[in-house]
Amino acid sequence: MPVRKARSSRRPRRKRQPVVPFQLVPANRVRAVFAVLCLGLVGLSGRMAWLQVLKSSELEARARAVQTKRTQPLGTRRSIVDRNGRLVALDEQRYRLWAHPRYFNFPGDDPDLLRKPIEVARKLSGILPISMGQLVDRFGDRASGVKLVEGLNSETAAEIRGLGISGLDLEPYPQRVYPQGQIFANVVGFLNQDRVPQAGLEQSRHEELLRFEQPRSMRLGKDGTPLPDDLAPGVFYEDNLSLQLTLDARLQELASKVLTRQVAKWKAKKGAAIVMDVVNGELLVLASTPTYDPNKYWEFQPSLFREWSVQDLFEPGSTFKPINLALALQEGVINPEGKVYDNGKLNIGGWPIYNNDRQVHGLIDFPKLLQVSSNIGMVKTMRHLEASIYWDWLQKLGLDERPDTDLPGAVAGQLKNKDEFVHHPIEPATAAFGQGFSLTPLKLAQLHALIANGGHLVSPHITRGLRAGNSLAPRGSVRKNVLLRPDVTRTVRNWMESVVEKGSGMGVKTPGYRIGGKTGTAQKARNGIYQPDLKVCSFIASLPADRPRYVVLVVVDEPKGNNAFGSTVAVPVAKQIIDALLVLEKIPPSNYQAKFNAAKI
Amino acid sequence: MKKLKNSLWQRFLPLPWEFWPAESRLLIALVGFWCLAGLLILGSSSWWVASREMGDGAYYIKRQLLWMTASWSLFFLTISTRLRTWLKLAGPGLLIGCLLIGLTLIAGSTVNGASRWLIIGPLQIQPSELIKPFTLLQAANLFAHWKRITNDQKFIWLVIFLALIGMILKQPNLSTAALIGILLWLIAFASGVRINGLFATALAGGIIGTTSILFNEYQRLRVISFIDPWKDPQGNGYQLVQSLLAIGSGGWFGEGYGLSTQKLQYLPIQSTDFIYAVFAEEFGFVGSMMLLIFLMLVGFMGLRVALRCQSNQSRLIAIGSITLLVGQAIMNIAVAAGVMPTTGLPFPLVSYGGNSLIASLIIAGLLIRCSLESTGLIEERPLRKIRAQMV
Repeated sequence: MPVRKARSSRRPRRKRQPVVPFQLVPANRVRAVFAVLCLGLVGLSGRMAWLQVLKSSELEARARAVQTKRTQPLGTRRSIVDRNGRLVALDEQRYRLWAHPRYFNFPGDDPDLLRKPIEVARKLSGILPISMGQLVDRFGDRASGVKLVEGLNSETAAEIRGLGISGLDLEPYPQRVYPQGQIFANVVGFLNQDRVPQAGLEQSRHEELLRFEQPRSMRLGKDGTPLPDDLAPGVFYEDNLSLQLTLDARLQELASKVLTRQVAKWKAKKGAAIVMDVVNGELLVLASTPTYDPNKYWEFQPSLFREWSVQDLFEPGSTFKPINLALALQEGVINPEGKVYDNGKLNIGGWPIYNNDRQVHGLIDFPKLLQVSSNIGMVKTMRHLEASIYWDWLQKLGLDERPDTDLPGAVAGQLKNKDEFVHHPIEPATAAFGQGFSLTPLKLAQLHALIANGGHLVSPHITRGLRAGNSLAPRGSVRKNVLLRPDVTRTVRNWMESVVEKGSGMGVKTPGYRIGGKTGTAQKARNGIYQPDLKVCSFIASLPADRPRYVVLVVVDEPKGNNAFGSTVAVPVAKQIIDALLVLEKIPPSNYQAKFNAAKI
Repeated sequence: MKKLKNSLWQRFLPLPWEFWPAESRLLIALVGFWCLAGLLILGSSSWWVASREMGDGAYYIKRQLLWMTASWSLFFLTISTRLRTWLKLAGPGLLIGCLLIGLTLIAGSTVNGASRWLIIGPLQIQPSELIKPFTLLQAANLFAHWKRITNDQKFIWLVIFLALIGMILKQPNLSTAALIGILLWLIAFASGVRINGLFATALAGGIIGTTSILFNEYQRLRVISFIDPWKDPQGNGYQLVQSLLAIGSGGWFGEGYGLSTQKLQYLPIQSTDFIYAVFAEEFGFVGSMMLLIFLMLVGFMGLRVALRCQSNQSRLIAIGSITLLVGQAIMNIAVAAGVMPTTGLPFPLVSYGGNSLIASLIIAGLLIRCSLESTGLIEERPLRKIRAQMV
């Protein structure tokens, strides 16, 4: 046997060693070893059957609970951007920190150990802007559900999460932020603490601003990688639509700054500035003052939350005169080359009417009439137009109906009823110089856009629509609602241009550009009586006068001082807005030669 | 015969293929299949983690393939080497192994609270793995003629074995110590040593094991968490809970190859100790049963080889090698399935790790060598003579 030989070679034979007969390793024992292994394997198959067949569904459910992440909709809202994509309103992720002192435990602790609130407060006070004592006070002796702090940003939240303290819970929630602050408050409005819209577009376009969200459930790797199985179609769809405005943030900012300064200078009650695209009715500026900061709305009077340029009425005064002239021209009751005699005083139905400046202008043509803003001239001119036709026209212009607009809360103007208008001669007479009826600044801008664009009524609006990502909405299409003949509007525009050239609107003269305009200083009535020292100063401009693209309207309510007129209060504001508008919208000069000459000087 | 001479690969075989017993042919095929399947399972379990942590999904596979090549070379070397040579090497090999294990206690690198590794340049050596074949061989030496050797011989080797187990326990590596203890016991049992003494030893071993667990916090925590892992699923029970969730998620037919979710970093050490959990999640109960039947088949082949062996040593080597291979697989599965305390033990030929691969393939090679020598054709005479005869 080889074995015996091997053995003998390994070990020197010893004499005393008793001879033990060779015994082969017993086969039964070898089989028994195999049996032991088989027993182990059979035992394991039993265990496998228990785990994978009997307990499988329970274990799988537990596993899925750990592996699956479910997210519930947070109720986020879409962003609002200006015409160039600048953010006006957006949702930011913030966190609310809840504490449950009965689960306080640090990482690495015995799971049964309960940490004291003071220990947790010590760790938190380094991160939160709250002192340890205050934190302990907030914990009180409550066992759970303590709201520690709100409005944490993502970085702070990540730091707190990094501490790994159990018993702390970070609840994400969206926070509406208005990066432009006061500038857009009047337009956009705000959400209150419960995210209920309170004013502006947030309120009027609430449904459209709600972001489409769906509860989402997906399996993740432990590092957070989502797995493709069990995913419903469209789970990853993210609504990144934003509501695009027609407003231009830069222009809006400038307008509201200039306006605020001017209103403060004249100690006026309020002011508004509107820049409208006359072709399609888009508003580039809708600024008003005083306004509020939507990020801190609670610090302001609720009366500020409404946009008065859209919701409040005023008597337009002289800024309405060009429109009246256009109506007279349209009806053919006056000759564009005609003249009218301004004798300085009229008495209609017992009511005396004077010019603003109490002067006698004599025989004047229509451009001159606008330049000196003659009330008597206007009354005499509009006498040619039959009162009922005049009233029909005012109604056709939509004075007494709500303008077709997306601006929240826009209201209709007030017009005397037809009977009164026709039977009292004083009514058409005062209407001739823009008193006796009232409209919103927005409506006035719309009517001047009608003159500027060749005779059609546009729908003033501030939203272009919803767009995904960074893409911008196209300019709105034009719906033609033609009211006046182009030659009529051209004539009136030429007259208005002369107001800027040599009349009360000289303040907006810009070398190289042709600008038409008209000032207005209307008297305010209180309790039906006109108050001599309560005025509304306004100025309307359309530019460029040869082919207008924009109207600019500035209205300042109740400026104080004897020198407060449209030309002194409203025109300087309009001038600055026009300057910025020309640059921002890259409007070429009307007359290059004029610009060249201006440069030489 | 001419055809045989001409074919190149026959030269690498210790015995012409025609003379191979059916068991050894089947065994070599089973081992090949085992390795291949092991690579696939390792690929699935390690890819995600490797691509996250190493930046290369194939990181572990590549290294395992390298080790696999080396191990298969050693596998064929083992098949070509006479058992007598191996048995002569067993004693010195065991002693060197003991020295190296002693070194791990002094200068070993510590992973998860256990110092099992010696780091020599780029190589990580795990002496407690490499010592397994030598333990097997020396045990065969010792127990083959238990009644015919002197008491001091018995005493010396038993003390060495005890010291070996003691040092592995000290690392601490409870599962390897237990595996080696069980191996020695089963070989002693197979050799026909009297039952009474054996049970006394088993009892003593049980007491030593319990004491070790009680005095070693690392192991005590493992054992306590094994009894009720759900008590602290985020702490000490975490590994076992994740493993049970993985196995349970498999259900009847599994998630499908590569589709385990638990392997995505939920399951810790998913490429070594808990690789079975990944397999079970992907292949389900059916796959688990096939694996267990496969192991039983390997064991049965080992049994047939052992029964065919003419010498005591080779008979013990044969039964010992299947005890090591199948027994280690059983222990690995038992750990993953929560019927044994959670202690690190690789699944032979599947888990990532070069030391384990080398040891396992040498053991498999010894088993096949036993089978070849049981034919009686290659033991005594050198290879050349047989070839000459056949030509």
